[in-house]
Amino acid sequence: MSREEESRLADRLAAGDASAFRDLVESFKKKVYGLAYEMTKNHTDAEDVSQMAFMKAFKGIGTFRRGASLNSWLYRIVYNSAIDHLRKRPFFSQEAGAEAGFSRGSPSADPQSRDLSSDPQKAAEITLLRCKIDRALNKVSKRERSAFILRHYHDLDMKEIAEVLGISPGAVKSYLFRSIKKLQKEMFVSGRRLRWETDNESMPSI
Amino acid sequence: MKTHESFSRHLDGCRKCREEYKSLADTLKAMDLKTVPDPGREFWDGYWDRLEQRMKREGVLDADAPQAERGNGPRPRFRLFPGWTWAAAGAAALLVAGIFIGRQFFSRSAIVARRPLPGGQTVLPASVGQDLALRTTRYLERSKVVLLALVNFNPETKDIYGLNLSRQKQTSGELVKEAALLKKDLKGTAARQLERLVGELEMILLQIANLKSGNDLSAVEIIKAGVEGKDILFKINLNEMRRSPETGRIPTRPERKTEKSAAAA
Repeated sequence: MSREEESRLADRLAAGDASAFRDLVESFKKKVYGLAYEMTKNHTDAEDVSQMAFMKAFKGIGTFRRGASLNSWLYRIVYNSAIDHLRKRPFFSQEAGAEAGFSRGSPSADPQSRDLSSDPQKAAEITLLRCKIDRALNKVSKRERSAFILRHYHDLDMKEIAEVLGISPGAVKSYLFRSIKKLQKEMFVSGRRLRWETDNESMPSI
Repeated sequence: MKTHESFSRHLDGCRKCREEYKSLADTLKAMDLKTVPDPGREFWDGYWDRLEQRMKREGVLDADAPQAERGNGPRPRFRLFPGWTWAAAGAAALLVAGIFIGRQFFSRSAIVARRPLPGGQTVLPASVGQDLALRTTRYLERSKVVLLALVNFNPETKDIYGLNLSRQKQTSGELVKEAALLKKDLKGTAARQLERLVGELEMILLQIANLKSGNDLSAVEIIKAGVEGKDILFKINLNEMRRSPETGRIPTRPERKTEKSAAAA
């Protein structure tokens, strides 16, 4: 959604346009669910958190300042909803990895997995690498992880991330730098740097 | 663009940075492999219906509202306030702000400060004295805000980035410069204690301004100890109370009752 479309939607929401909320949900549901999943690591909780976030957005649309970014406003609601949800679930295992029993849709709903199904070795390597990535992300602090996820996977800029997390843009930069350095260190494998051979498309051996 | 160009030029010439950059880029590229499992089309197609049902169940939506069709939204149970209420709230807020501003800047103490003191005591011209008093008050208030942020910071419960250290450093730097001017202007007045307080604040603020940006927790703790040890905040509060409520001025010489002024009173 472009800034102009976002701005028009925000105006409609603020004006009490009944259909605007549905448009908001349809436009943002995947992003909202995505962030909720990355924070809760669990499909059921991700849907729960995303629904809570939309409900809060619906109730709180009167607090949305015209001219502000709808994107960062909504992301902030999702982020805080996820934090609240996780606080109520202190003993939930934060271990990364594929969620057991995920059965919605086809068993391998991930398009990347389907593409690699013809090469089991490659698929296994990628699965292993993804586990490594999840473990690496778990090693950074909560704030560092949130800043990284919002920047790298959701393309928010510094200012937007600062608004979502309630910190200064300078702090966001610090968190991002620290998270990347830590991830770099975690991804260092057996004394060899992770090499991404973009020239010949070969996967790194782990 | 210029930054990017100079950065690229540097990488061309610096092997170490080039390798480091490549390593970071490889790391980020690897992170792209992480994906959120797609729950499937069925999930997304039913998403709105499930959300709407939940909103009705929890009372966010009016349960009797007709089923929303595509393109139509729910009828909210809690409607937005009509426009006139916002205008009324805005007017009320302006009124309160006006009263506050009036009290702060047009209070009796500020007006009385312009009248000559009884007993014919010679004082600094009204504009100069009042200006110095105002500058000092502002200096103390701004310093207090910086110090309170540091003193109230608890590293066990708060992230140091919540302290916004770079902003505190910047403000402290400005206040250090202001302190030098204030001390110069306060010399020769009877406000020796105030002059000393400004000097003590100057030292603390200089330490804050010189803090390393980032995770400089130990230095923050040292400064906190200094503030508490010298009772700086207490002295600021005391100064606020001591300033004469009638004149708001900084006295130019010790207030002494003469027979004439006593008889006049």
